[in-house]
Amino acid sequence: MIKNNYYNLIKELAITDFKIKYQESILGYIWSLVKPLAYFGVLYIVFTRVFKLGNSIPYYPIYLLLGVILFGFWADATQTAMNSIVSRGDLIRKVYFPRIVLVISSTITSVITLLLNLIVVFVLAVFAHVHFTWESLWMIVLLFEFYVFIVGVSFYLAALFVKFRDVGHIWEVANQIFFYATPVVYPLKIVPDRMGKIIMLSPLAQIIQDCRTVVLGFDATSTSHYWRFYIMPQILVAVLLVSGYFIFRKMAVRFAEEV
Amino acid sequence: MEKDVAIQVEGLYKDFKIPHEKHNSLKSATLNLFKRKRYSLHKAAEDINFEVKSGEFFGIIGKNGCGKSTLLKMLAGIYVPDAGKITISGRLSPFLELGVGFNPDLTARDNIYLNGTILGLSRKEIDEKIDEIIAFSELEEFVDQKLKNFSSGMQVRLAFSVAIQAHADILLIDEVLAVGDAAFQKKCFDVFRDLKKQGKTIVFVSHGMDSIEQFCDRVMLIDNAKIADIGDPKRVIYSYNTLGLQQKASPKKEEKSDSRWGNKKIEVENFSLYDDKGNSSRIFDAGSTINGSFSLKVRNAKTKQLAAAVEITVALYDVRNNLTLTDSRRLKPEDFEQKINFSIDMPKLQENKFYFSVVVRNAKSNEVYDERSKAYEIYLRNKMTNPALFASKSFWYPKVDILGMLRIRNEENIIRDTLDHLSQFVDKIIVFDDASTDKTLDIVYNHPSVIDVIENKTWKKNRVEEETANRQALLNLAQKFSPEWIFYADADERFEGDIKQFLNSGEAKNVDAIRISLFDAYMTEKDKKPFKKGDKLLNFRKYFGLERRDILMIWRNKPEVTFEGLDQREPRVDGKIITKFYCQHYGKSLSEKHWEETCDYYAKNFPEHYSVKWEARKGKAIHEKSDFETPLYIWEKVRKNGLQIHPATEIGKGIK
Repeated sequence: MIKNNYYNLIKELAITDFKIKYQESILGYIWSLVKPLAYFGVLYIVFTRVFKLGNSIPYYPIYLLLGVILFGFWADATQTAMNSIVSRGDLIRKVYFPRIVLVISSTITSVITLLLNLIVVFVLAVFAHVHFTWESLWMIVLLFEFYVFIVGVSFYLAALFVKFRDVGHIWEVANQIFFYATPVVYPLKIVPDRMGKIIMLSPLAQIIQDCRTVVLGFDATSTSHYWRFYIMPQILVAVLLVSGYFIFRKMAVRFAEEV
Repeated sequence: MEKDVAIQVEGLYKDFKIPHEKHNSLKSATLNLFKRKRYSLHKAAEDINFEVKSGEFFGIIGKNGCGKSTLLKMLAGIYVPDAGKITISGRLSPFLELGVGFNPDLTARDNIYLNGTILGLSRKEIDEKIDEIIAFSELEEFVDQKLKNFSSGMQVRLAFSVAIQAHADILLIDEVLAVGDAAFQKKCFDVFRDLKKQGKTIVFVSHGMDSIEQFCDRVMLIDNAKIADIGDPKRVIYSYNTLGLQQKASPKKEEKSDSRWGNKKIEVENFSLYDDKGNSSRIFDAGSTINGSFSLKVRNAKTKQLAAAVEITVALYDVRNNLTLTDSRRLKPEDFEQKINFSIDMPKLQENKFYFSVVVRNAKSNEVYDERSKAYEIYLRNKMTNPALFASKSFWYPKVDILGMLRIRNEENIIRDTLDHLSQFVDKIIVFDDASTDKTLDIVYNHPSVIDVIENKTWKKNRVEEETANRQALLNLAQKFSPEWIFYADADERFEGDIKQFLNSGEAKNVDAIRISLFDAYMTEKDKKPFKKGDKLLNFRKYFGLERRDILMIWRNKPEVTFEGLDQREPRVDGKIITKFYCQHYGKSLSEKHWEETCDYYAKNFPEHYSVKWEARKGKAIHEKSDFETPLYIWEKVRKNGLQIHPATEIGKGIK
């Protein structure tokens, strides 16, 4: 997909973006931890004290935090990737390199943030006496699937955003819908079974739920309930990646003129 | 593709669609989905074919918006052509401009890494080179400061220092040199020379014709997305400068003037320009005459009564020097009926654009009827790289303290060496060319010391009279430069001594003229290698004749000094004349071939007492003794023991 010598460029751009993101703030990248933690705090109070939804779930704080952080990764990565071509217009008009480099490097910046956040989740999980098993290592596979999914979607977003700036607003609204259409704050079992089946077709729901299952060790809400569909999200991820790649590549030749 | 071709471009086309309303949002795109899309086509490349050889410095020039930057972007792969093929062999530099990707919020050091990576360097390579990069940029103290605190000059320096580290065989450079101060530009040029020496292929887009001419081996001119000319830099730059002027020569269309104003009670019409031969033209040679004419149109017959108060002005604007020459006169009644003619002897200024303006106004009330300011562009052609004349309020000849004069004909082999040699003793040189038919004049026009040339184009038979007249013409021109000293040399003479220092010293104060002791060099059996282009003539031959001629070659400039009589090499000078310095004269010893030609020349063109003598010399280029039957000696001996045979009045005194 990308020639060897462009890995340097991806790395350098990702590191630069990460540096700049938290530059000139006293706490630096700690903000990337504080933000989801604060959001988590708000949601925790709302859903345990006000709606009392979470009380039925074991390890609800970790359950919620993992969901918030994974969804946050999704929202952050797709948003910055969508902007990656347009915000580097100057570079694109003056230098030739495969434009995919920009999409990949911007998602990698988000991956760095995610990994830092997951360390916090891990520490808190230890305090909450979560029992880690060998099964928890499936998390790595799931995160890989998540990353592939994000890259596939980002190809579409970044390419379309060059032509139609509306995509930015649409995506903002869409993400709000996704947040509630995905069992991030609520347990899946509170929605009707038929609805649950549809929800679990979404790779976003599948990945978040499966991550919780392999880490927190209970299966009440995992996709195994919906095994007949189990392969559907993965197929969707693969299709998005391949089609996204070809569409991006086709549109990329005109980026320099249109950006 | 041949091996030595770095870039080959075949049948390249590129259009840009410029939408009248830009659909940058989905709404307008969907709403207009079924409407006919309205856009105009802008052609950026139309059937472009060329190749750049490996190791070539290739320039691309053209007016703004002609498509040259688009072409460069297509070469770099940033734009994709609509049709055609670009084949590149070798590693191409991916960047067109300096400092691409620079981020103001990062330190200079971080930016070096970022920018270096964009240019294709690995982190390891940058680690190795970073000290060198910082040293070259001369920004050691600032390297850990954020880039936003840098001046633009510092940023360019940093960017350039990184850019030269990029390893590429083919570099594409877009107008880099427009930035930076003079010292930095020099540094850039030095790097360019290095790159050129290393055999890198460079494609250079610029508006700076000076740097294009200085560096490029070949230049391509793009006009309206097509190749208008390609080849020798001088010629292509000339094509660039005269773009559009060729067509404008025909006065069918009235030109649009951006700065036309006035109440148009009287209008200027049919402005046209003609060269010496009466051909309509917009391109003129330095030193030629421009003839022009225009007519006046009057809207109201009453206006004609004003004639006496109306003043017409024709002005010529010099773009390079930002100067205007004007000529005004009062209108005559008949000017309304017939064409108004004017004529200008175009001075020998540096090759450049000029503009004519015409103003018709009322001299009393200052009412402007028609002012066409800088409305008519012309181009002045001058073959000389360093013409002496410069424009100040009028056209001036600069003062030259020691002026060299040369009279030459067909000297293409030795003339460059002659000019270089003479430049050591004089400040500037003027040349009389006697109808040369070889490349002599090209060399003369391009020599940095030559400031004016008289071209004698017709060859007259009576040489004896003619040559004296030619020398006088040269002297007349020399006097315009008000020199202190005039040094009149021939192309085949080489001098020894600190002539310039002497003339500038106090010793020369009472001296009015200097005779220089001249000896003839001879070819001998062992020393007959012919002189070739590039050789140095001073001390070229080993043996010289003892016969010494003290020839008056340097004199203090005074109006009464003139050339008189028949075939007089020396002018008539009164006052204190001293004999000093030495001269090697190679007239008969450049090569055997030259010897025969010289014999023929004198035998054919000169009166009997000359021609008989030279006829007899044919076939005798190789000497054992001098023409005066004395043995030949090496230079040092000859210089000490010379036998004076000239001036004739002193004959006897010198010969022992």
